[in-house]
Amino acid sequence: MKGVVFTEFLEMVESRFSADMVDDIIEDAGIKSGGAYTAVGSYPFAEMVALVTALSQRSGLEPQALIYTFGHHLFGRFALLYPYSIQGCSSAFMVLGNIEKHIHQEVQKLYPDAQLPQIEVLSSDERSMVLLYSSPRCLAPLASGLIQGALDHFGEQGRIGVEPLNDEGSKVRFVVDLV
Amino acid sequence: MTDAELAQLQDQLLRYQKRYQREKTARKEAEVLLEQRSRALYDANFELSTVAAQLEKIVEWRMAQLSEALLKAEMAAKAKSEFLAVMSHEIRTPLNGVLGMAELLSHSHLTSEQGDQVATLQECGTSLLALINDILDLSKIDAGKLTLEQRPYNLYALLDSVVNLFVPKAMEAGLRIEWQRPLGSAWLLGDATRLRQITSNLLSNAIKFTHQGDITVTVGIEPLEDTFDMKRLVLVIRDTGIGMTQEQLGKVFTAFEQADSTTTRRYGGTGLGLAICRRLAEAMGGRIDVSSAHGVGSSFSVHWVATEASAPAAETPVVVLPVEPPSSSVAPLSVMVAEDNTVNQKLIIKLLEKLGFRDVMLAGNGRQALERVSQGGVELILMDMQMPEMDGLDATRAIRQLDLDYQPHIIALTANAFDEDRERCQQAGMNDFLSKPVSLERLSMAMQRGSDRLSSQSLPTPAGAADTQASV
Repeated sequence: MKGVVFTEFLEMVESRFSADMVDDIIEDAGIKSGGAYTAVGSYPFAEMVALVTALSQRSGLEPQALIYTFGHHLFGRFALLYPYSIQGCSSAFMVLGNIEKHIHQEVQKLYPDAQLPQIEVLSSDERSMVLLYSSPRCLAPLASGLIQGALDHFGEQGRIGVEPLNDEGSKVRFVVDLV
Repeated sequence: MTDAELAQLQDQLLRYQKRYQREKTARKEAEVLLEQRSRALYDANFELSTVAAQLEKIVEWRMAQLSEALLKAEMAAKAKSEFLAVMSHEIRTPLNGVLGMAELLSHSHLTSEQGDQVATLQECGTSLLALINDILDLSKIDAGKLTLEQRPYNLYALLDSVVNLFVPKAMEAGLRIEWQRPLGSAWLLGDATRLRQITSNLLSNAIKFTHQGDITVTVGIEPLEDTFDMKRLVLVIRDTGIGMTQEQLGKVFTAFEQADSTTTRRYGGTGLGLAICRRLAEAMGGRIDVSSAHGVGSSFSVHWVATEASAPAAETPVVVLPVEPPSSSVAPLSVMVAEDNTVNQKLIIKLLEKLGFRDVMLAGNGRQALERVSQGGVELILMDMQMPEMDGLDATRAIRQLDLDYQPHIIALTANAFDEDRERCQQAGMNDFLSKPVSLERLSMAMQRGSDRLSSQSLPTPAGAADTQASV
């Protein structure tokens, strides 16, 4: 998993909880890297799982909720760090529709080895959009948080329906309705 | 400070130490990654520039190969066209001898059986000549060497003369040619020779493949939409002959194909005529269509577009000269033959004798001709183009430079049959052009033209540059 996800996760933990919480969960997780992440590096996905688990135990919050919050946080950061990714987009739907053909292409330029989820647009009109999320990492809540982040970024109100298509959650359908 | 406070402070310090260590480790890792990336980038750049250099070398090499191939192709094409020109000459020269001698023989006292044999000889020679012409024509067109003239001609007069040419042949076959000639004249810009060739070919085919009935020739002219002086033309030659099946129609314009193989046996011919016609029509920017019903007849229509031309000031009627007996007014001319081939020398002198010219001077090459002419007294020269030592063109140019009382009338007599050769002769200063094999009839006409021209100049006259510009 790309280092930027780890550095952003720890930043979020620091801002939402505390710097001590960052130290603690790194300690609890017992991870090999010791939490010394750099945005341009790559680290095992298992370390992210361990960090989230540790945060969940320390905070008493569900891992799913934490991941969702992280997704929401991540969209704001991406919009700030990589503004060209959403340049020319005037709505959340435009950004979501651009993920596969534009945003992921930009990511591949910086990180040719990045393993990205597939976000396929199944249908779309002015008020509603149906997306299919596919990833062996089963991070649908992260995607859900990102979608909410996109809606908030453009000041839009919406309802996000999440329909897992299998038990492990590697394929999930999102139905986004503007309200 | 209490113990608890101290412990908290120590814990805090430990945390800061760990954070500091974490940040330091992360920075170092980032630096290592940056170095790795930089090296990878450098390597990639180096590889790219190596590949680019290699590519450039490959491109250079390919270019060299290509230009060599192009040069070879051009040389091969040139060699091919030179070969054609040489073959044309080499085949025509002996054929000239055969046909000429056969003609002389036909004018001598023969039994009727011998007469038949000579006639057969002449027919065979003539068809061989036609075949050679066809092959040369086709290869010339295929080599893209066909250049069409753009000169004014009267379409109706042209068709008159072609139809007249075929009337005897049609009558012989018991057929009637119905030429639905519009009144007046139709002056157009184009290549009359090639149009004549197409028309002759279609008419000749119509006669060949029709056993009874008529051959109808019609022509249509209408203005081309949105143009000022362009005309859309259609020439239709329809017969009541054997016709063709759909399958036969499909390949009728393909070179070396005839409607079927039995046709070859029954009707003869090479199957080149229509292929040539089609290519000629296409070169004129037009096309040839055919419709046919087996056993009912065929209809060939030539479609093309031409610019209207204004009629020349005095319309010169097409005169078909009859074979004239040697006129006594021609005979006194002093004539020289410049020709290296002994068979041809013998032949041309015999032909000239038939026309009443005796004591013909003979030159074996251009140099001998030039020497003899410079002594004066030569009025008319029949000049071969290709001769050893000095060819006919060089000899003519040299003769035109001579300061003579009067310049001789020079007739090119050559087996080189291409239009370019005619032009080269004209440019060298020759007055007339006869392609071999030459018949008694054409020689007679050429001699008559020379004689007329010379007498109109009331010999002797000083040689002038304008003198060489006369009618070729």
